[in-house]
Amino acid sequence: MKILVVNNMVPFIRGGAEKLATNLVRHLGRYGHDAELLRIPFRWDPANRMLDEMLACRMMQIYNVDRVIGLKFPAYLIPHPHKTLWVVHQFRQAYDLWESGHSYLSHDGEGQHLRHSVTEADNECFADSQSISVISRVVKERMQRFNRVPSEVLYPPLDDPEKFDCEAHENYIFCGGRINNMKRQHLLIEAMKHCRSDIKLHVAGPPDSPEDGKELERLVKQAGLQDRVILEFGFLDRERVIQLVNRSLACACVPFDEDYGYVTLEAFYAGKAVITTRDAGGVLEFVTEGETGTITDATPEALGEAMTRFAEDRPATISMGAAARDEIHDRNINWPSTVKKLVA
Amino acid sequence: MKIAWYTPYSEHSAIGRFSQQIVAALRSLQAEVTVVRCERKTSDIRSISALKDDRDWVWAEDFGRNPIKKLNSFDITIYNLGDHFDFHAFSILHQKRVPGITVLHDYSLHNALHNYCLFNAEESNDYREHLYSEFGHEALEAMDEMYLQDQPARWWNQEIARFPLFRWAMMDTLGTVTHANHYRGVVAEQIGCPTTTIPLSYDAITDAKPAATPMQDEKFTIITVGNVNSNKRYSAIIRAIHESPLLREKCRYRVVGSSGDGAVGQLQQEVDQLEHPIDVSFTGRVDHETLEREVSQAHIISCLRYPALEGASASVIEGLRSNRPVIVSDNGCYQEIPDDLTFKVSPPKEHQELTHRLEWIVNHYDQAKQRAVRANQWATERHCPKAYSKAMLEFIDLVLYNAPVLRTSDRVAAALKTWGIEANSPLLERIDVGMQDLFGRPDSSAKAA
Amino acid sequence: MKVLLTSSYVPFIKGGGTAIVEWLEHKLVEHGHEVETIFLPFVESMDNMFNQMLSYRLLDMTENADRMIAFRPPAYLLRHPHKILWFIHHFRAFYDLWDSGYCGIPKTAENHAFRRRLMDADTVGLEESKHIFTNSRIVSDRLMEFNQIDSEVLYPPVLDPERFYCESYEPTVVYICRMEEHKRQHLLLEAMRYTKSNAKLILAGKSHSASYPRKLKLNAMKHRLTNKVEIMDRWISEDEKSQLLARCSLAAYLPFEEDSYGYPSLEAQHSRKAVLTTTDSGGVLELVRDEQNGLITEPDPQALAEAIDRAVQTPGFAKQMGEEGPHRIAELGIQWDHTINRLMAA
Repeated sequence: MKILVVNNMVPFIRGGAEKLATNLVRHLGRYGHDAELLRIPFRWDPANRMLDEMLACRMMQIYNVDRVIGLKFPAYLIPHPHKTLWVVHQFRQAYDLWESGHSYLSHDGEGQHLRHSVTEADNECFADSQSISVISRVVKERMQRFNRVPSEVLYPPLDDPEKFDCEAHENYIFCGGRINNMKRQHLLIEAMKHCRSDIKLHVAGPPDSPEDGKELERLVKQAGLQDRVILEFGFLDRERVIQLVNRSLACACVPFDEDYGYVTLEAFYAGKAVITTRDAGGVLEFVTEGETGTITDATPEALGEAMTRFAEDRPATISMGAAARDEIHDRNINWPSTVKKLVA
Repeated sequence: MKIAWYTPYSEHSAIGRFSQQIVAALRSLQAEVTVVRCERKTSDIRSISALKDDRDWVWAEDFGRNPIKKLNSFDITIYNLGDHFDFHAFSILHQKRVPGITVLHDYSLHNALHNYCLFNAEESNDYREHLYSEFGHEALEAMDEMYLQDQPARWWNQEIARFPLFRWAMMDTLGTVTHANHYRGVVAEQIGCPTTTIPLSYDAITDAKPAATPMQDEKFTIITVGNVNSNKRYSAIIRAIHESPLLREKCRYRVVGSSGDGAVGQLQQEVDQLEHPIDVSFTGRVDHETLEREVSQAHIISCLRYPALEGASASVIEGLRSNRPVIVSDNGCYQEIPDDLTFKVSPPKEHQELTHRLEWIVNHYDQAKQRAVRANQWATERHCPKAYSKAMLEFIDLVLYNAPVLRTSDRVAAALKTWGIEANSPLLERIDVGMQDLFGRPDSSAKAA
Repeated sequence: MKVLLTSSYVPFIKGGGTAIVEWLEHKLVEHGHEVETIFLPFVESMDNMFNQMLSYRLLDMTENADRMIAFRPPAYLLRHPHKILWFIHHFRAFYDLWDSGYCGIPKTAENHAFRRRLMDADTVGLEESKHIFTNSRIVSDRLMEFNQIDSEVLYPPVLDPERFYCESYEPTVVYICRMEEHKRQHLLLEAMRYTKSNAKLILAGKSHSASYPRKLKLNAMKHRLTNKVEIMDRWISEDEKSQLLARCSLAAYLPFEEDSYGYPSLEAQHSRKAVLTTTDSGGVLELVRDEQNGLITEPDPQALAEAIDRAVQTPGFAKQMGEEGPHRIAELGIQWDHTINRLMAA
């Protein structure tokens, strides 16, 4: 079948779901389909541009395609008779962020109207779709709550789970992934001040902007943690990331309210327990307190305490890591079944 | 250019006669025109002879429920529309299926809507619901008031002028032709398609020579022609004549035409109850020959109309073409006639000004005749089938040019509506700007070939 | 610089229209620029064209890029303060093909008006451009004729000219190109009925439909040409292509009235091979000069046969013309440095 995966993009900026989209296309190809990715430029700023963007997607026409798989709003508004959704996230500015007052949409007339139209557009799209999957329970719950639409959780598989393995337990806690404010690597650095063991923290990944990297460097310097915290910035080789995960004692993943995180999966496949926080979002769909990791308050003290515990009780940490590995294998998150579900 | 021309086409129909001339003029400009009768095939309508046409006409009703197939072979369909449901039923019904150009003869289509609602049991809206949704409480209250006062005719003949109601009949039209500027603006605002004004074409029945100025002992004859109803201000003329000694002496008044609802009888009563006797007579229904004779024997034509409900007036054009001084009410389409060609009367000061004008005409008839001759020249050039059909062909071109954009507009509006954005939302400004930026304004008359 | 490349496309269909964009991206990156390529869907159906054009218009590419280069219609409608066009063709059915027999759109008043409307909307986008490049003289002429707009011819190079080489001049004629009716492989096949030399023909390329290649094969059998003609109706790899070109005497490219010279003829010239084409091939004639770097004949099997025989039988002739190839390429400035200079300077 000819399958078109449809996603948003912002020119010159690599976003989170890009990898998911390209992986999906590749795996669809592996299972005998012709697959391509359509990336629609999306500019949501200023707020009143929303309508233009939505309408632009709605007015497009697709020919020579059997199926469309839509990943994000508003790209998934593109009309097609056989559309499946694998929602990475809806336009949160109109939903939970609006509710919590963090949205750039105002609470006055115009903002209300836009919010309403986003909801109606989503509802129309959901009604027109053949099936709706979402990448995490968090996304599922939001969709149920705001749009009263049921969906099925379909976790995005890793591309290379077999490369992750428990090679060693060196004396560091690893934190991988993009580096920015929301991912809260700064919290982990602050936590190190409260960590009584000699365990190190290794942060590695691409900062979204140079400032994001500089901020962490500043924090480390200020707290005098230069020999406790290792910062490795840049787009790392996959091999390097795998190595860092595989050889760590444990991993830490403390983003604020994230929908999903590959990083947790990587840790689990490598048999590493994960330190996370109560407000981390999708990570909590994997980590179970005391079994496969620990869930703390989002404070430096609590995290420092957790890191200390992990470092001091190595056997427990290692055992949780093994449990994590079993857990992820039990879940059977793999590309063949994902593709099968999306193409059914 | 292949045109399907929807129109009533009986001998009694003024719009029919108008169509007959325009169709002939279009054909002389190499257009292929097929006349499609838009009336309901009621026994009443069928009992009247059709106008003569050297080609065959067809009944729209025979197209069945779905006229699309039949109309597909035409480049454009033109729908003539007036305020009478039975006479224009299929212009209304088919326009929804096959959008084309609407020629709006009347702009207050209340009577037509009322009967359409009765006819079209499928639509749950009734007349009052429509009225309310367009004009809100004000309209319903005005209507109720008239009914309470036991004067329903005042609602149907007068009050409706305050509520221009035509959108329901032409939601999907690709373009609108109006016959006077006074309602073109309202249409353009409400419908958002290309609109144009083409002066109404009317080939006058009569082309009489100017009347001879009455001698000392002869009277001036004032006439009002047409279906007798209160808009035509018969009472105003009667009162003006009655209260002016000069006019009482020098004028007689002939009411040419009949009424269905006892209006004539009422006027007769009015005359009978006057303090001083005045010379008023009633012809009753007349045929063309008689009408011509009446006009040739008249000295002054009254085309007073208040309120002016028609888009444009065929009878005023007839009056202007008669070479006799014409009196008009300064409102509606009559305002658009140059001031120095007719004798205008301002409705708020009707009695005063009417008396003044009539007395002046009586005292200066030779000058009044000169004015009348100039008015005839103006009317002949402006209101003729040749000018009309040429303008129509140009408009068709513009409409076809604009049609794909209008369709896009409609699709956008439909999508936005699904998303809870109504037509008047300020959010639409940006989309409008975007569309205009690429396609120009829908109303633009620029860029046609 | 940050450069946006934008074009329309139909999913799963790759061709000259996508190649030019992708190759330019590759080369711009080589020259140190940051490039983002965006392909947007477009379906050329009258019912939906304006809706889709509006959708292009509603997007906003203003931020994030120093300039935008737009290719296939209606990418020129996308908005950007520094919009450059490398215009490769119009909506041909409504422009140059309107009056030909290939149009398929009934000439009603409604459709005439649709056409005018479309052209006016196109012109809005064209006029906003800072500079318009085209891929051929023919396309530039059309822009002037239909939209009254000036443009500069900028011939598109092939991605890797270094891939092409010359090995020998064997008595073969190759036609490496998609097999479609309008590319006219059948004409060349017919010609082989009339050749008197030992020339062989190789037709190589994939077809969108099964029927055209089948027709060719049947014809070959019918006229007993199977030992003179080889039909490879499949996808030809770049390496195979280079090889076939490396060894032939003559490379044919004779589409019916094509917009531009086409990559096949350019590839042949890079391989130092003369191009065989016809008087009605359109843009190919901007590249080929009769008797200099190729042969131009009437679109008639016998004329083609004569040309083939001449090339194969006249000693040194094929080589002489083939050697002219690189000179001609240089003469027309078909070279990436030049292309990128022009595109970035405009």
